[in-house]
Amino acid sequence: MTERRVIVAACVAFLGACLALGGCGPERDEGRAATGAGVTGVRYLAGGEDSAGFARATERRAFVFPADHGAHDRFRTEWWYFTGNVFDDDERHYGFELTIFRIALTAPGPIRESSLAASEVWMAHLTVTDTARRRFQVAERLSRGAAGLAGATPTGEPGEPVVVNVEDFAMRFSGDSVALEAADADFGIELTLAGLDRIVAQGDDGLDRRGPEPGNASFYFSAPRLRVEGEVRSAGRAPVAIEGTAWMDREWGTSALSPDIAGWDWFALQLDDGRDLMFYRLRGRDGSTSRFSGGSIADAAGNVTRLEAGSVELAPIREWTSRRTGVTYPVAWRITVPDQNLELGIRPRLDEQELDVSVRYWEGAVSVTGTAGGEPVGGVGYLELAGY
Amino acid sequence: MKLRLLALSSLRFYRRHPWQLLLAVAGIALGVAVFLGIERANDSARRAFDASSTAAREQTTHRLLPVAGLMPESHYVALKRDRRYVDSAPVLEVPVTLSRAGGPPVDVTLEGVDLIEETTVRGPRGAIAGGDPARLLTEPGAILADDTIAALFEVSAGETLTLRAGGETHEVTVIGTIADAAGSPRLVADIATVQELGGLPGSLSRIDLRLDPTAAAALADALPAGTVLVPAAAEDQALRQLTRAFNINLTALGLLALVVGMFLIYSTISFTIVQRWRSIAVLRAIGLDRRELLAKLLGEALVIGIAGTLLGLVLGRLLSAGLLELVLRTLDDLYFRRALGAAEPSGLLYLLSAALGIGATLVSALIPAVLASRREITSSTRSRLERGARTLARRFALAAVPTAVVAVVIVRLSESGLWPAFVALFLVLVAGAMLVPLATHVLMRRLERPVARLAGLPGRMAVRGVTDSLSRTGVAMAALVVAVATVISIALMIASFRASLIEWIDTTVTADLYVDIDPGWAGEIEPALAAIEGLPDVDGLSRMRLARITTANGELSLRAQMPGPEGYGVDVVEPASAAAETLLAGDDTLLMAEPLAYRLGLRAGDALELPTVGGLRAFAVAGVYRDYNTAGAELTMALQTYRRAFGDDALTSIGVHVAPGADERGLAAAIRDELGPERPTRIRSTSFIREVSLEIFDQTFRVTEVLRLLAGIVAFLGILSALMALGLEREREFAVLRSLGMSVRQLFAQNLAQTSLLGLAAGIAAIPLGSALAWLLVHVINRRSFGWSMDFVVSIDAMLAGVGMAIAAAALAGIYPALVGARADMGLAWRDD
Repeated sequence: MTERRVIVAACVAFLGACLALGGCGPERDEGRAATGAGVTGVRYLAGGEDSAGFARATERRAFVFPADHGAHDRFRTEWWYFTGNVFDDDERHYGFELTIFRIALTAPGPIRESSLAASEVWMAHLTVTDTARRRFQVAERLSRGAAGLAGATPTGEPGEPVVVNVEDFAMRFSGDSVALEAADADFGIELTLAGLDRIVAQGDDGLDRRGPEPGNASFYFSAPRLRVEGEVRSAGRAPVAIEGTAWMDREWGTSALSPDIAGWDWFALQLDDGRDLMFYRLRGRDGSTSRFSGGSIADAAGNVTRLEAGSVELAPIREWTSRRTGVTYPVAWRITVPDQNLELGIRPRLDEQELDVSVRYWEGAVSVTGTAGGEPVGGVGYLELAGY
Repeated sequence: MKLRLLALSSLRFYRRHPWQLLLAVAGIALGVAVFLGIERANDSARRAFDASSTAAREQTTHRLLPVAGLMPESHYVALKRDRRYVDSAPVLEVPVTLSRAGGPPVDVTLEGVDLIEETTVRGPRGAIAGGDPARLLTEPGAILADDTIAALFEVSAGETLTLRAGGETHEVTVIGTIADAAGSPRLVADIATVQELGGLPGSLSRIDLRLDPTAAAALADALPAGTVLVPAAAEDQALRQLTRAFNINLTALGLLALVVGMFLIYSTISFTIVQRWRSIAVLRAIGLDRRELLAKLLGEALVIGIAGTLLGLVLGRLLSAGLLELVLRTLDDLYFRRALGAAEPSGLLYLLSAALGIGATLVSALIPAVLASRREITSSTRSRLERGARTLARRFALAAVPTAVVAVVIVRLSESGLWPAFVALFLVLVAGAMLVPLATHVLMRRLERPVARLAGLPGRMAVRGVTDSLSRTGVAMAALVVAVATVISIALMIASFRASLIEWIDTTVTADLYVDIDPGWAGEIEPALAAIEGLPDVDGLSRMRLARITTANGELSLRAQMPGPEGYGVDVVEPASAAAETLLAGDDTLLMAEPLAYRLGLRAGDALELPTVGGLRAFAVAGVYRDYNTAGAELTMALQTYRRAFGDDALTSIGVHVAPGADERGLAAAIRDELGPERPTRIRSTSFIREVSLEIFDQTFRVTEVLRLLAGIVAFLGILSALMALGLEREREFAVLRSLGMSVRQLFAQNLAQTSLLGLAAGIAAIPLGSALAWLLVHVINRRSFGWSMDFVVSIDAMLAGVGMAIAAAALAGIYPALVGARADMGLAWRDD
């Protein structure tokens, strides 16, 4: 699930500035963001000059908290990714996504006189899927990383909360829980997520490789099963109390994607039997699966099994075409993991969960039904489709 | 059968007199062309203006401004962290001086923005050429130059510029160019870069916001300290009003051209009727009734009108391209705002122009046609006709008086509003035209003897010729007088304005050198000023603070001044002959610029509330002064008053009064030395300011000059058509004269003398009429359009130029008929009767 966000982030670095200036004219077509401009983004990242001065993920490391909840300025890109499935007292389903991206345009240089000076662009996306009302709501924030407009508080004292914000969207890490607060005019979330103590280090013990070169990798860990409490506001109505589960992804690095990668499909599923499955497939332009694809299965006891590119079979079973952008996404899937004797059907809660913002992609709440070892199993999750 | 006969008779007539036809068509074509040209240019300019102002403000609904000076950036950060105010963008504007090798330095604005916020809050800017915009964020000295600066300094992406800002010299890198936007030439850079270059870290000029009404109300209730929230539209509204006024002025000029065109039609149709009276009489005798005759004449006019209108539409389209450029430039100069470019006007405009052209033709043909159809067949002798014309002239002259009275009443009754003013203007014009035939008659009677004494019989004949053919000369004269009066009035108005402007600049610009004070100046400024004051050749200093304050009436500029030896430099118009020093001596008093006073409907003695450090406070409007700055939303107060009320001790600039005969250049260098090398500053000589102001003025009125020229052309065509008809009609008379022994030369001279005489008479008659029109333009129309008052200047040059134009047009128009007449066939004299 890593490069996809590198691409998203890279697009922002390039497009964000471009869009902000309104200078791209007809090219201000988000349709290009994940495809054409996505490639541009990759090239932008792959450009040697931009990697200069940045730290690289070369060796495994132990994650340390609360420090690792904060920003890692020496690396070029970083994100905080929360997705979750929650229910109100009447068992109505809501999905939410709150993501913050940090994209450094250059390596940190000497401190400048103006506190508004910034070499980082920060982006945040908030979505609320209101399944009962069949509404998908999106808001975006883009900001320079300076003067408290966007950034992460320095993580000095243990016990002090780490606050990551882009303008009014904020995440407050405190102990083993995190509070999310983000709202637009008609919808928003105010949630507390507990369970940060259960972490799954992805890739090779937290070091996730992007390519054959040393240093072309990211540090990547997930908190696969957070307990959610709080309030969700949707469709301009009063906030409703909800409960549910969420997934957190944290990643930072200075890696680059191969230019022949078109996009990715990312699955983060929480099964009834207590297992959590993450798998991302990097799609080649020819439709092949890159060997740098991968994932993991973690059980409630904390045992993690790494999933290699070839150990998972993915088959799209239904497509949906966006009326807004005209792009077609495979929104329903069948996932087979033969080694685990897993066979899962993935269905979107709502077909229309496309984000048409600075970057265009589909990211939505899904439900899971299938069999594990022959026994029926259900679950919830999130699916991300990019590069279509 | 009858119809065919009628059509044939018309056809034959115009085939014999192609010039007549051509001139009538040309007259209406020009009228339509000028109208369409102006309206089309106007329409496009208006749309472009709307587009540019909505592009800039479509998204910005409010502005958060500091009460005085700058505001801390922490206000911005606080707003951004509140969901309701998240759509906000910071701006820091710093004046900078760009220096270049081998040329004078140029002052431009350096605008600091947050590029990421630009689209969400302020709407897209023009395209950026070259360069990766991300560099603006990452490179401390990276800037974008607008096209004007890029062209002036011949820089392209990657090259450097040297600029002085915040008291220091910096090298900056142009990473790309950006299309010219609103306002003066500018450099655009990241907000942080501008804070650094301007030596103003942590400061902002303002914050642009996009707020819904609830959020706006919430913010207004919880404003950060020292700030005010203003709707972005207030300022726009004032600009829009001014532009509308400008557009109406142009439209009126366009309609004027059409009116002159109508005179052309009127005179052409009258002439053709007079000339064809014999054949008309025959037609009537063989059974053509009055209604049929009327239909025939109007039918002819319709054909001429359609032909002229079609031609006019084509010409107007061509004309509008040129006019548009001028109109846009004028708007730009007047309002310091760059329109985005032309927009294609709607087809409706073409329809309107066509309807006006054809309608005007029919209306102007109606009077002669009706008169002709009513006339008895037997009354066809020339002498009767002329007697009738004289009676008519008298009646017209009588009708002119009530017409003029109506005009005066309209002006009196309507306190403001431009359209009534223009209606009055047209009525005065018409009244003037109605007086012309009788005035011509009287004038010629008076001239007869002196001319006879000077030039003998031919002279007397020339004069008599005018009065004896009053039915035609009257109309020709009226057309010429209207055109020349228009030309004179515009010239007088421009002359008045220019003279008032020069006087205003002289009054306003009291000091000889202006020294800008570095906005980043820290510490005590007075010791440095005392040192400057102590320099030899310095007679005194004036201190000035310019601030932008926001009131319920929108954003106003406030000039706080501690006057030097020559006083405040304001030209107080109300109360009369009061000195600014006396008026501003009291506590909490201010002076108000005339356009603002006009707009707010305030007079001396009224009060105005301003937001001060201690809350809203009422200031007494002690007087009103002249101000030709376009926005004109200016207040002037004593520096002490300002400092007390607004708690702002900074200075924007000082004026240095130099002893007569001193070397300004040397003194400027000495001032720089006193300020020290760490505070290089901008010093401007006032002669330069005057020069630039007048240059802008002349450019602004170039479009008016072009219209004056067009009116002149239409007038020339009018007189040409009238005189040619007259000359052609008198062919027989010429033949008689020739056969009586008059030489070709004598005949030519006599004919030319006669037309020149007509021109002279028209020119003289146009002077009072033109002056009356100019008076209306200066005191009513300009006042209502812009709120400006100005002194009426009687420019002899303008009047003489008008008379000269009339004579030249008349003489030129007389050449062809004179040539024809001189070659007159003597046989004609004795044929027939």
